[in-house]
Amino acid sequence: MAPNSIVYLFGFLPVVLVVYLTLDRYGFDRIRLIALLIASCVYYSFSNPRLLLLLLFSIALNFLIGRKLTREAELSDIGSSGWLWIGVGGNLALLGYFKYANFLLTTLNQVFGTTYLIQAVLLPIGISFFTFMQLAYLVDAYNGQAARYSALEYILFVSFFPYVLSGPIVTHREVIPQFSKKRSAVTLWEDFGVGSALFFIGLFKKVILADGVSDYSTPVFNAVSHGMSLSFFESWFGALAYTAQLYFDFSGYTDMAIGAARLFGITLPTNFNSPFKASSIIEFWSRWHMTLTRFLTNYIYNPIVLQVVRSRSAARKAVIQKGVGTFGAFFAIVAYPTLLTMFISGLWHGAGWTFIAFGFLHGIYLAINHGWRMWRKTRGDATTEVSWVGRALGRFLTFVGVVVSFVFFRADSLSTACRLLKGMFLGHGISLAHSVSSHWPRIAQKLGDYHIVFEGFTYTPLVQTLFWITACYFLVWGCPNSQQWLGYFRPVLGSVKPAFPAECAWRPTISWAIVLGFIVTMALWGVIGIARPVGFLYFKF
Amino acid sequence: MSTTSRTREDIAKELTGIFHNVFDDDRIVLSDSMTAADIPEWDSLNHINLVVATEQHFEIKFKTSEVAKMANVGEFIEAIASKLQR
Repeated sequence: MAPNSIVYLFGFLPVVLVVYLTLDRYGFDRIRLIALLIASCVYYSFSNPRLLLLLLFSIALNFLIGRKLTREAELSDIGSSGWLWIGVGGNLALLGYFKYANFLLTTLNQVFGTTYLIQAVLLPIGISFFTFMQLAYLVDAYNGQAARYSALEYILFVSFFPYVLSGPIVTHREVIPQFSKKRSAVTLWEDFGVGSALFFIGLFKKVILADGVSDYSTPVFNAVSHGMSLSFFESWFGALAYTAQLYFDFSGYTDMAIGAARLFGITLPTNFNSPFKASSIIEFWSRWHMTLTRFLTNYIYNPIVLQVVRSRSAARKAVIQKGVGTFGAFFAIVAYPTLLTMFISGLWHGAGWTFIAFGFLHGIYLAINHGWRMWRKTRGDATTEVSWVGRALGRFLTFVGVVVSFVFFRADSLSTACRLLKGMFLGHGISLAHSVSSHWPRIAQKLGDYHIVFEGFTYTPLVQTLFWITACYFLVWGCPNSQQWLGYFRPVLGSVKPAFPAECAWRPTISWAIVLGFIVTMALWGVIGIARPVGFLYFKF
Repeated sequence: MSTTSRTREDIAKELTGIFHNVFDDDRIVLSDSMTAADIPEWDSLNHINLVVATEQHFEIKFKTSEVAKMANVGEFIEAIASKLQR
């Protein structure tokens, strides 16, 4: 069930909330959690009941192994590595079969010219998300850092419907203790206010912004996929529109997830913090899909780098100290772990060469970024004080790099991506509107000398495209983000700096109620009036 | 590097020295709620440098999940304290 579908908005969510609040009101503490669990199972099985069995099997496997590891760690500080590897292997086997078997087989067939076939495997929605959540739990249990949870708590933690399909990738430590929390009447109303505000902001982002701007990205990618070579402006319009679409689609989903969970008194971690305001690619990843970055950093990147640094220190080899190091140290401590982590990140997003390219590209970006910092440090530049020109340049470069990587993310094949990128970097010339040559023939003639043609914008009506792209990026760069806007009401876990100046932050006043009312009306109109197909981009992963 | 029991203040003081050394900046004043967002140079790489320098200074070794929990200075100190108690 998609959270922007009519059945969810007008049936499932209100009914579950009323039942939950009633049980809460009359003190049925355990039953209210059971109700939430049943609701989550109904939600997950809505599109295909058989997939629920897979989810429950995965949960059972991890719960039993995790419990065993926790008990062992209580006795001897650490669990048995045998059980950890069985658990990790089991998770990766499930993920591998359902997500990567077809890709692997197709690739092998291409390499060896064979024609092996397996039945089309249906991708269980959310499998990448609940697999990562549980891998982290297993490692924590093994390290003696997981409490003993009841079966009810654990199953609900993994299957909780607001985030089961597409994250945020939450941790057991931050969510499970909240299940048993008692709420006062004041908190209950505050949760309701903040939760529904975030929910409708997210719905607005999805059905108005992301779906709206997709009209200007989809035709471009389709045309290029069919072999068209588009000129400079058309290519950029398509890539910029898609970048905005992906951001509003995914951060919209996230806002809806955080909002829906909050209605039930559960506060979730931040997942987006204005990523396009980042002035370096390192900073970008600390603002984009933050819970994925947190998982990758904590459970892949850190263990690798720790291992490398410890063993190099023990062998008295060069390490990076005070931001300065040798080339060998840079390769072993920075480039190799970064590339490997981002390669895994790319593959996590999807089984395909375009995603591998996406991950690899970001690995290279990050390595360059770290290398640049080291080089500046070696030269003795103060890296903390950067002028506004430097920051603006950094933000521009970061943004362009991200847009380029999203071309790979969106394109149906590497050749489509490369053809679009060639257009973006002037490989297919520049074309301007017909009217330029009819209105200003002399200017047109001059420009013609520079191989600029006047064949118009076939795939993107100019005025609408410019309107949508401008509107989207005004919101991206010129406005506070949703958690800053609600910053005075603890919208997410961790600290939030409320929007500045304080007048820009939400307060329960008449004028803000009108703004929010407008957002709610537009969002609902988007669902009922425009009524597009409901899928979110990240449901593929 | 004494092995006698340290108070939380002792650990914080020694940790301040480690931060000054890793970031090459003696002006840093630690507070419990301080995170990577407060120190521009506190990136993923320097986080590991902090962890390794802490390990060497206190002669302890952190596990993966302990490092994962050390997101702010307060949690750093807690993690060190719980290691030293054992």
